Amino acid sequence: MSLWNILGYVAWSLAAILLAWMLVDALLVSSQYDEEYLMSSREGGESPAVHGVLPEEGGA
Amino acid sequence: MKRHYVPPKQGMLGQIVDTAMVLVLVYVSLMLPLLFKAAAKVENAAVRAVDAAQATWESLGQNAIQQEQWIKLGYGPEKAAILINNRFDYTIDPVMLVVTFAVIIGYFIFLLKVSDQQYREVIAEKFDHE
Amino acid sequence: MTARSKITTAGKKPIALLKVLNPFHVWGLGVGIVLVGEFMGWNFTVDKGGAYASLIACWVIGLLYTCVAMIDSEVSSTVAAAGGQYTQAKHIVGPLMAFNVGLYLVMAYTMLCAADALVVGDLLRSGAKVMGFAHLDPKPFVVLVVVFLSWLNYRGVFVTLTLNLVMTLLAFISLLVLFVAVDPWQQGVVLQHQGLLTDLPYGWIGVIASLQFGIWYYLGIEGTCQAAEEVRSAGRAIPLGTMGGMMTLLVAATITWFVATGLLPWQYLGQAYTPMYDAATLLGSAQLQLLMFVATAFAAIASANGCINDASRAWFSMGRDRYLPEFFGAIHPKYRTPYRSILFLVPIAVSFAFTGLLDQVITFSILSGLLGYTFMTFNMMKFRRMWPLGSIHRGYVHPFHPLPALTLLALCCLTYFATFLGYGATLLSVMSFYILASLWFVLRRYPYVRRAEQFSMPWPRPRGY
Repeated sequence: MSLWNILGYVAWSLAAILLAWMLVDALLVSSQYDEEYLMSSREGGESPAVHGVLPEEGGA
Repeated sequence: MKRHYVPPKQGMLGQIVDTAMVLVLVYVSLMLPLLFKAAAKVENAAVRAVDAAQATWESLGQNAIQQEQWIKLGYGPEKAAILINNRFDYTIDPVMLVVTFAVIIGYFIFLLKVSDQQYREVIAEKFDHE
Repeated sequence: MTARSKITTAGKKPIALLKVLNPFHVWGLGVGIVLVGEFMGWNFTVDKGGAYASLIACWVIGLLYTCVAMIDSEVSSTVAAAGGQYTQAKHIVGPLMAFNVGLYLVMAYTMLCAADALVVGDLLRSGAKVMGFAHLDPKPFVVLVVVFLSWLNYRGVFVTLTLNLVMTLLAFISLLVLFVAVDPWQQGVVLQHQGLLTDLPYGWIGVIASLQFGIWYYLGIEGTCQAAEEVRSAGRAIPLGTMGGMMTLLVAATITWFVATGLLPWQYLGQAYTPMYDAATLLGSAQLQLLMFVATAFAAIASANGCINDASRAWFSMGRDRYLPEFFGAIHPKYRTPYRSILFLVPIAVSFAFTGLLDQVITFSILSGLLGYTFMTFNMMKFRRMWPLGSIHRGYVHPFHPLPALTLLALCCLTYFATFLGYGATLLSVMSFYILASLWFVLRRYPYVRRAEQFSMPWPRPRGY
């Protein structure tokens, strides 16, 4: 078995580990947090341009 | 004043079905053009292989500098001929052209019309209550 | 199972994406997605119409994208939300248009990501060949690229886009190095333009046909506005990063054309898979060859990375509005990324990469981009009409309206025609996809969407509605 073949297997396993890590983490988050909270983001985030006071309208 | 629209809540199964639906549509439209193309490709390849066998730099219309670069790339005239003789056919089928543009324009008109209707509903609900 | 209660919204601020990016990240995101196109892909324009056609396409499509960048900077510095053009469409044109725009974004980026990962795989295979191993199977590396970059994206936007910035900068510098190395001020020593440039082989129809792949020179620069919810100051960073990116790309594209057409016969160049690497090979310098090899890989990885970032933001935003299942609208409580969307797009990108239909996938991606630019023209016209200058706060106002919008529309039509010439069947099947998806949205999805909540900007009622 050549170096390149081994590298191929290493790549497969790394990909599998990372994917598994993400899946497990996603499931853990679902079990620890309420769906409502996870989906509570508002469009535009905290941007003052969207939800706050605009500079030129501040005094009005 | 219009009643506030309250959408139904979608269950997990419905969400999965809907996601799958988008994917199926994408794959089908990726595969579709293959049906037209596969036949044309085989024919072209056969024609080109015959031409390539008797090619010289002169018959391919390559000047001295071009020849030099081809050789540096590791190409002889036979091998280069396959690339050089691979030409596009830009004849336009007027019927297909009209159909294609009609589809694109029709699509956008449909989008704008329906969007406008839905948008008026959104604006009415958002601003009429204030 | 457990009695432990879950963490809920009660007493907490709503969750949000993390605001950590600066204008350089925006530049890195925009240029990073595109730059791979200068290492491969742009050269198909040469195949379509000859070397000069490619240069014309480079500048004509450059003009198209300059219009895109101008329009986009104005609208997205005002509508500062993840989802970019999708959110713009929702606020300015309407829900069905927004759904389509969202799909264009997701399709364009996910398919580009698949193509990028394939490029890395191919590069590794040719690298292995040079080192004496002829039959490397690129599959595990393609998968690893997609999964690793998704993992980075999952873990946080700052590291992801900082990495993008570094790799993009290195790839861009390597193009400059190649330019200096060919002794650009002297013809006939290294560069052979006088012998290699020919008349237009197909005449002007070839020039028009080459516009289709001219899109490659810049495709993805408009993705900068996906970062709107994550930059510290959207009104400043997005126009700065986008316009700066556009200038970088115009320089990079012209350099690329100049070097490649001065070294390679056009018939070779037009059909090469790694033209810049081949150009370096002709120079006979092992260092330059290695540099181009690494730079191509970096550019491809940076592009895939940016695509995952952008596609997941668009998918997430559509989920948040319930245009798609709301499941996707979640944000990770610790990393503050749209983690479910990122995860979901992994198998999709991988499956696109393994269909073996690379040119189909690329055309689908280009067309989705083009449909999006067509949308921008109506979007801009309506935006200025419904909220005239002065009625709302705009982060940036572009000059010469409506000239950019009209130019953009004309160039889009020309590019549809170019696509018709080369990929007529694909064009129709892509259109049928979007038509079916639209019907599905109207009939099935829209009932789940809340109405007034879609309009989240603090703007006054639009004129005429």
